[in-house]
This record gives sequence, structure tokens and C-alpha cells, in this order.
Amino acid sequence: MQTTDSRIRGNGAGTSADAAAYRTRHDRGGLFQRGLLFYALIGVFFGVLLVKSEVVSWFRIQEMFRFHSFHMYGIIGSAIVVAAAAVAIIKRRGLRTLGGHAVVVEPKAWTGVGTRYWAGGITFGLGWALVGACPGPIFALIGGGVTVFVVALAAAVAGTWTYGAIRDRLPH
Amino acid sequence: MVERNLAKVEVAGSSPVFRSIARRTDGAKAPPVTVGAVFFCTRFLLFLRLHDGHPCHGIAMIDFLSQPWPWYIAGPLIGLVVPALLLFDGKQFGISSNLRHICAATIPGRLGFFQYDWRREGLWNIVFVVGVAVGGFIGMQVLASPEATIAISERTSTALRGLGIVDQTGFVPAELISWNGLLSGPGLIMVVVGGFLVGFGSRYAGGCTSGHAISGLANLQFASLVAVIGFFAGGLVITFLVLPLIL
Repeated sequence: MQTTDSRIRGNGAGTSADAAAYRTRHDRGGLFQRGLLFYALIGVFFGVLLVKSEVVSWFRIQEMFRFHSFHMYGIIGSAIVVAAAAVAIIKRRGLRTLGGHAVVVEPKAWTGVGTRYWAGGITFGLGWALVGACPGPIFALIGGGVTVFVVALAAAVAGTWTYGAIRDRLPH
Repeated sequence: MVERNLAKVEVAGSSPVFRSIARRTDGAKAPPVTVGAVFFCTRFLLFLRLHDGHPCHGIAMIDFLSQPWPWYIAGPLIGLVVPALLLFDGKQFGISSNLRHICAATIPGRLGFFQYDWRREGLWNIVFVVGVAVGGFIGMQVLASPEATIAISERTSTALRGLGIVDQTGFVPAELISWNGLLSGPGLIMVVVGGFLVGFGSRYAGGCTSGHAISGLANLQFASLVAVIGFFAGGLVITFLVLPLIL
């Protein structure tokens, strides 16, 4: 009885290890696995939008920070309204993913006076106005041929790395 | 074969996405979002009519798409990225996480912050930003705007000329943000220091314009509102204090 039990358990463990190995192979597989093609296409869609709406323009960002035009506010504002309506519908109706899983939107944790949000936010804002591009436009500009943004991307990666290196000493 | 078909039917049947769509057709009262959708469609049709030619045919279509897109077309479409990612596989829209994934994939060192399975967590997102780059190519090369200069407000244009930015063609000021511009002090500060602060600040704040301003505010998160106010505070300091100093 015990042997059978352990064999079953052993089998079970073996199967799940096989499944894990399969999943790892699967995860690292080609563009068609895990729906990666879908993410690529949504990315293309988003990239075209960033360029054609001129969000990637340093001049548009300056115009926004000088409050001289409604353009950027219209884009970000209407994007928020549409996204918020969609998220509200997903939550209220308990919509599930195509794979049948529950949609979980993890809220950002708030601790103390929220130092990381205002300090990090201000830091990001300083960089955004200097280089005139947030991370999405940096990728779009590189693809579009403004190759100097490779340097901006490298600097941004260095910035993220530096944060990773000193985050234990920063107030959050 | 039969088994696979059965599985498909089961997935479709168990997904409330499909069920709720089916329920909607029963003639229940229209959700408030319908009002927004109708408004959007009307504006889009007006936008189509404002351009001459028939935008549904070949070259005319490309010409049409090559015009700069107004905010009321681009903004709502950008907003749709959020539910598309959520409903496809529960992913949250956010670009700056990729900077962390790039660190984890290339130079994690011994930092705990970069010790995780980046393929599992972020491969989808890296594929997404590669798509953004391809989209950038399509937008800037295939659908290149006929206008050399972006139609920014005259007041901004004047203010920037006052700072010495005379050449306002293209997407970025070529004297500063270019390979040659890197040789000048201000250009180096804008690209390298600016890029560094974007990378540092976005991870410190836990998100960038996409993760906080769009995803975060769409989820009505207070933390994201604080972060977005921070974005603007930082941007105003650069625009009105630092740029006049360094340019």
C-alpha cells in the first residue's frame, strides 16, 4: 500500500517536473508560443500611435510642460478615460482572460507618505523633460531612425541598474 | 482531434468574455460606455470626411494615414492597449519594466533586484517594445508625415527660439539631440542625464507614463496620481529653471 502510494506520489512528482520542463521549453520558444505574436502586434500598434500622434516629439513635450496646447493632455486624458472605462467594465462584469483566468489588476502599494511615488515621480519628470521622451517613445524613436536614442536607452538602463544597486538605502 | 475540439469548446464555453457578450445581445440596457463609443465613432467619421479623396483606396489611404493623427483618435486607441493586454492574458501595460528586464537579462551582477526569471516575467513585454520599435519605423518611415515641422503652438515655438533652439524641424532639436549634439554640453546632459533620470525615476516610482499615468490612473490608484503629479513637478523644474540655465 505504502509502496503504491509513494509510487503514485513519485509519478506525480515526475509528471509535474516534466510539465515544468515542458513549460520552460515552451516559454522560451518561438514567436508563436504564449501568444508572443499578439504582444508584438499590439506593440507595433502602440508604436505607430506614438509617432503619428507626435507623442515622440521633444517639441510636443515642451509644449505640454508650457501648457501651450491641449494636444498632449487630450491624448493622455482620453487614453485614461477609455482605459478606465474598460478596466471598470472588466472588474464589474468579472471578465476573464481568453485562457479563462481571472483578471487581476494589482494596485501599487502605498506606504507611509508614499515617498517613492513623489520622489521617484519628480526624478522621472526631470528626465522626461530633458530627453523629451518617456520609455515608450525612446523605443519608437530608435526604431524610427533617430539612433542617438540608443544612448538615451543605455543611460536609462544604467539608471534602472543604479536604482537596483542603491534601493535598500533609498526611502520608499 | 476530437479531444482538441472538445477542449476548445470547453474553453470558449467557460470564458465569461464570451458569455457576457452573449448576454449583452439579450437586449439588456446599454452600458454607459456606449455613449463614449458613439462619440468616438462620430468624431472619427467627421475626421474622415474632413480629408478629401477616398481614404479607403490604396495610395490615398497611405496619404491619409501619413497626416498627423488628432488627439481624439490616437488617445482612445492608446487607451485600448490596456484592456487588450488584460483580456488577452492578464498583463498590465507598462513600458519601463523592460529596463529592469534588460538589466536582469544582461548585467544583473549580484543585485537581488535583478535576480528573477526575466523570460517568465517579461519576455512578453520585451517582445512588446520590440514591436513598439517596429511601429516607430512604420510611423516615421512608411507613414512619414509630409510636414517637416510639427505644428506646435506658436508660443512654444517662440519660447524655444528664445532659448536658441532655432531648428525646429523633425521630432527632436537636431542641434542638441543627435550624435553631434552629444559633443555639446547641453546635448550630453539632455540625452545622457535625461535618459539616466528616466530609468532611475521610473523604477523608483514603480512606473512611467504608461504604467502610472495610463494604467495606474485607469485603475484609479492614488499612488499613480501622486507619481503623475511628481512627473509634472519635475518636468516644470526642467522647463522653466534648468533649460534656460543650460541652453
